[in-house]
Amino acid sequence: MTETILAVRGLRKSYDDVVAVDGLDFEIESGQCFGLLGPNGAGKSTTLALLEGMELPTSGSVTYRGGALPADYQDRVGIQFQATALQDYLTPFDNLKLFSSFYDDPISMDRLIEQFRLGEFLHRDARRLSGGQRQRLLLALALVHNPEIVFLDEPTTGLDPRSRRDLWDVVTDLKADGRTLILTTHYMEEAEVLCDQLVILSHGQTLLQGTPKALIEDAGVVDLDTLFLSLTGESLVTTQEVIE
Amino acid sequence: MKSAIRSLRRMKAVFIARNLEYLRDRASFGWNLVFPVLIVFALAVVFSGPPKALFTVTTIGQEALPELVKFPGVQSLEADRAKALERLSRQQTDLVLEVSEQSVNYWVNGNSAAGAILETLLQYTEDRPLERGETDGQAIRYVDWVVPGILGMNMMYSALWGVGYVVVRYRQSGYLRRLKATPLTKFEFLSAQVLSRLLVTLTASSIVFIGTNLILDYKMVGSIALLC
Repeated sequence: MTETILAVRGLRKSYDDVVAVDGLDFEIESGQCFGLLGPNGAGKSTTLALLEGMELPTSGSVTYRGGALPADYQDRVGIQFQATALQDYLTPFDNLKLFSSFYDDPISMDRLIEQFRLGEFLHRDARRLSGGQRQRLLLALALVHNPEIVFLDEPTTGLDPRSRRDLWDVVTDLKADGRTLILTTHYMEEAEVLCDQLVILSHGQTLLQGTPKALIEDAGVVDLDTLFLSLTGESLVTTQEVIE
Repeated sequence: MKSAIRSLRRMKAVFIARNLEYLRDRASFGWNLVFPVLIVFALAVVFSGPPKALFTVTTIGQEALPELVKFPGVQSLEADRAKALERLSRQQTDLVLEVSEQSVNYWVNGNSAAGAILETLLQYTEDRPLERGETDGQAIRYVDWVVPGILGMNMMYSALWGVGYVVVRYRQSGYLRRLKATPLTKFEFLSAQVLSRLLVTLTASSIVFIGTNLILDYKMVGSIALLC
């Protein structure tokens, strides 16, 4: 039995004259993998920051289980930021220990190390980790307190194809655990594989909303990128990303 | 020639970009410009004052003082006897004078060359009977001044770079934002930073203090308990 865990009504966020998010409305069901899809600058990360409670909206609201975001909201959510530095000279083990200490009842470190396959680089300086290893560590840190909602901000950007697939496996396992996942991406394939529901954003506004399959079928196109291109004339994936 | 022009053009572009980066990085800009200006003004205030005299004479009382105290290059100060003799033993003054009804009493530090010169001048210029006294305290050496200064500077810079700059760096790298997404409060974070730096500074200062004392045997006047 699913229920609406987060609801967004008339959400708007502007920075001086720049409107980053412009009147969004959607609902996220518990246990769902919800995707925010769009090109760079579409407002995905800002929307995510508003959902995370890290930023306050200019107008509109984000509600949690029908009410305002509770005081202990940060205990209920885990966040993997798009670009996060870690403290210099600390190893993944040190980082896990540090972040575990912030919570009353963290997941056992052994379980996290096994789940995110951190063992092979557990005692290496975190600055020397590869992109994929670093993302796995950041994901483990986001889940250290066993949150019910997990935010993933472009978790596979900059990763090689193998690391990207590895991370998909991890995200799929999280879905199987029954967690609510909210991720931003500009990779249509990733959205199709991982997400149950999608909101496609452009210039801070909702272009389309629905399941990946329904969106593609309704538009009569072969994939989401083609759909987005037909709607806006812009590609979701840049030339540079194709080269990568 | 064209190659040189291209090279200059590229250098100019990088030069401008670097300057823009520097100007827009407010933390670095502040440290490089505002901080030195503040330090200059602070030191100017602390060390401002008239030029230092060649000799310093401390007098006990002000009446019927010898001509010596009016000599060019001689600065005279007044103090009670205990304070004057304490200053003499530390060589913070070169001569102590006290005029009584029958004689002029003076004290010199047996280890002070400046005291010996003033004593000779006094003997040549004073007609009244002279009564000599002597102390034997060692002069405070340069190292005795410099070690506490270095310890103080070390503590100050350690606090500035170990807390202030680190917080700025954490902010720039996004690490503070990551911590904000945890139950860690600002107070807890800052307290931990300050305590961590306090431990490091106290340990380092203790090692420098004990180590330099063992090697250089510098003089410490005052309470070690208070220092701790």
